[in-house]
Amino acid sequence: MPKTKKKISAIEERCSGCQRCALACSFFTSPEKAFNLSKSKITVVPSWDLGHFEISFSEDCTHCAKCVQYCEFGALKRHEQVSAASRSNDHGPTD
Amino acid sequence: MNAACGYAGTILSVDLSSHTVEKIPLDTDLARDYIGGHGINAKLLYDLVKPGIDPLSPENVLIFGTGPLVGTMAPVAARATAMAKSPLSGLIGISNAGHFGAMLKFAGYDHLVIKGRAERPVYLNIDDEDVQIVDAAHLWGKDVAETTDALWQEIGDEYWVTCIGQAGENLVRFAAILCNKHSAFGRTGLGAVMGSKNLKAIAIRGRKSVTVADGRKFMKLVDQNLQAMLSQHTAEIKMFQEQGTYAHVLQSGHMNFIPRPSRDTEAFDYQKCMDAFQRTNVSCIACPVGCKQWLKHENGMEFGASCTAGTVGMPYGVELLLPTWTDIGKAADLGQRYGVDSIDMAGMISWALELYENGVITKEDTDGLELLRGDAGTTLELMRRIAYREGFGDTLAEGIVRACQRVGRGSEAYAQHIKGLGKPPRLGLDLRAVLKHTYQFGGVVNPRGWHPDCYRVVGIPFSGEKEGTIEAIKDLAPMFGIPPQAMAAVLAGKPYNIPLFTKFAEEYYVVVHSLGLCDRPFALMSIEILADFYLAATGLAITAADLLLAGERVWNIQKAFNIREGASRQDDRVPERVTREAVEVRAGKFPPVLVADVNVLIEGYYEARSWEKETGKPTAAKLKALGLEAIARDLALPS
Repeated sequence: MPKTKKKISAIEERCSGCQRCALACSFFTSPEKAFNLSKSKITVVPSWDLGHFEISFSEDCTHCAKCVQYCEFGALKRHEQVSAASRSNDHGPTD
Repeated sequence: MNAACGYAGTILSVDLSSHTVEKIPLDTDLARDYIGGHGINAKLLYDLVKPGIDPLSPENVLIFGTGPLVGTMAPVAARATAMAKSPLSGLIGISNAGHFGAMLKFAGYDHLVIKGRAERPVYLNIDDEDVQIVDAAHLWGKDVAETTDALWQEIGDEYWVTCIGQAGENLVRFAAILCNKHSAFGRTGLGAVMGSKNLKAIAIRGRKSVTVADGRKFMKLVDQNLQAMLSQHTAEIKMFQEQGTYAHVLQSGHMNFIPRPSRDTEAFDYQKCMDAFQRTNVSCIACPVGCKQWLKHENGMEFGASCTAGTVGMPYGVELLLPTWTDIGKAADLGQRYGVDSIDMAGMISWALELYENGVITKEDTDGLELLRGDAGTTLELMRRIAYREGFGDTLAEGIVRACQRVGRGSEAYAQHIKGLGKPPRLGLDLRAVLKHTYQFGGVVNPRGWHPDCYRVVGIPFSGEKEGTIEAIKDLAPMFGIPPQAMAAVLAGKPYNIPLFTKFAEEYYVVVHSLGLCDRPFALMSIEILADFYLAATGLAITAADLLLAGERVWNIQKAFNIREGASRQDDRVPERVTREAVEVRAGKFPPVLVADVNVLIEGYYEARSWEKETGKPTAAKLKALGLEAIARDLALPS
């Protein structure tokens, strides 16, 4: 799965693994309006012992950016406009 | 049920003796009367554990609970509570951790009840509905990090792994249970209970949903309260992110109220810790702060610090006076690997050091080991001997009460414990300096022993700090739901009515812990907001007063558990030592605690709780008012 999805990019070194992004995604994108990590379109895989969190997006992510809204660590960014600068600052948008 | 949203609706009960798994619907009345997590655990424990059993026998029951807000986006809703009869105190054992509850909930369970004892080492694999008791011969003997890695390798790293290390296997009475190498169910020896059941680990993978009754209202509450928390506590949160829970002890003036150290240690300077270790913040689920840390040292050492104060700096630095953060880190790493309550581990070693320094014990008692305070070699070797119960380590592994009995020779005079739980260095506060404060006094009457469960009250100035007490109490009153008509009584006394305020604080904290919320000072929400969250999540109409009544019910059932085990007025007391010796702390010299002063506080507390003044037993009338008539009958209370 890609590290970035359309207009959202991840800065993994800022992530603390709180999963608020995934909880929000599942709540706002599922018809049942429920919290479910396995139904989230953003996945945070914690490597607890490496102090590292791997973030990926599923193919059906609609880049609604609810995950960005609920990330308090600045680990997710929404790019309104694709620019060379944003590419060089982090992973950069893919499309 | 599943009558209410918020809850998963099922209690998972596993009997390791009969190898059976039962799924019991969560009763709506149980949910309403005991809220969840901590509260329902207490009720289940009271009902399932027969009085007088050996805590390390198959008859003990180990219970994990989540809470109706766990698994949602309610800020800091990550807390799980574990309970069993404690092998340390012989009374109610309670402990909490962050990296457990949500995954249990996503697997479809609010509580996990473990009974019996497996014939051979096993682990529990909970994969949604599929619950397997699996052979764990290959894991037995491994430390916490090795066990966790082995299970991630074996069954997948999407599992949350909770396990014991060698200390739990060897029934060290202050063994802990660790989750994902980070969070610890630390206090009261529940790791030994897990070990006694031959249960090495619990691995959970859940893919189910946690629903809420009114999603729109719920998310509005999430948004409002998250922003309030982040904007009102910006500086405090930043400190917790940088220093973990060490921020708490540095910020609150704790360091001014600990006995003067007899030698230099870097433990008083957290900047040196930040220089020595590379740190990564780790959050519990749904927490926007992340006060847990993964600490990495340039020498290759790395470990999870669930509580930089309680797991790392205070026990091994402030208590044992290891000189550098590197040495402190070595001890903390080892403690996490063996799986111990670092507070009692350091406390036991500190006690042994003092016995040695004063000639009560010699090398003949310690199998030839010279005991030197502030020496990393002594500390690490004693930790190893305790975890494996080797020689003198076997005595220390018994916990303070039994170790005093075994050593004899007046060793009790050097001990500091309440109900068998050692002095929590995380407090950093000496009882002589700050007895007259809910934070410390709460530890004297706490059914689980010496631990500060009323965390937020550190905002109230300590003894010797005269300014701001009344303001702090007034500030906290609405949060705790203290009725306005009770405020005159709460504010009466010097410096305030500590017993009565303690009662209100305890009930509020039971609510917080039962909903499944963290109790870091910056994270607390008012009881009215908690009631709003509960209603939006569950759809069960409940008021703030109802929640606090449930808190009182739970506190009484915990007390009843202890009374049924034979606890009496004598168990609510300060260590004899602090009534005999004065102490010097940075804030000044403090005389011994006067027993008469303590008695006044305790009797005031019993009165505030409507418990019998002479015995500390809840009265039949109080239990009846709480709907606990059956317990009054159990305890044969006069009506």
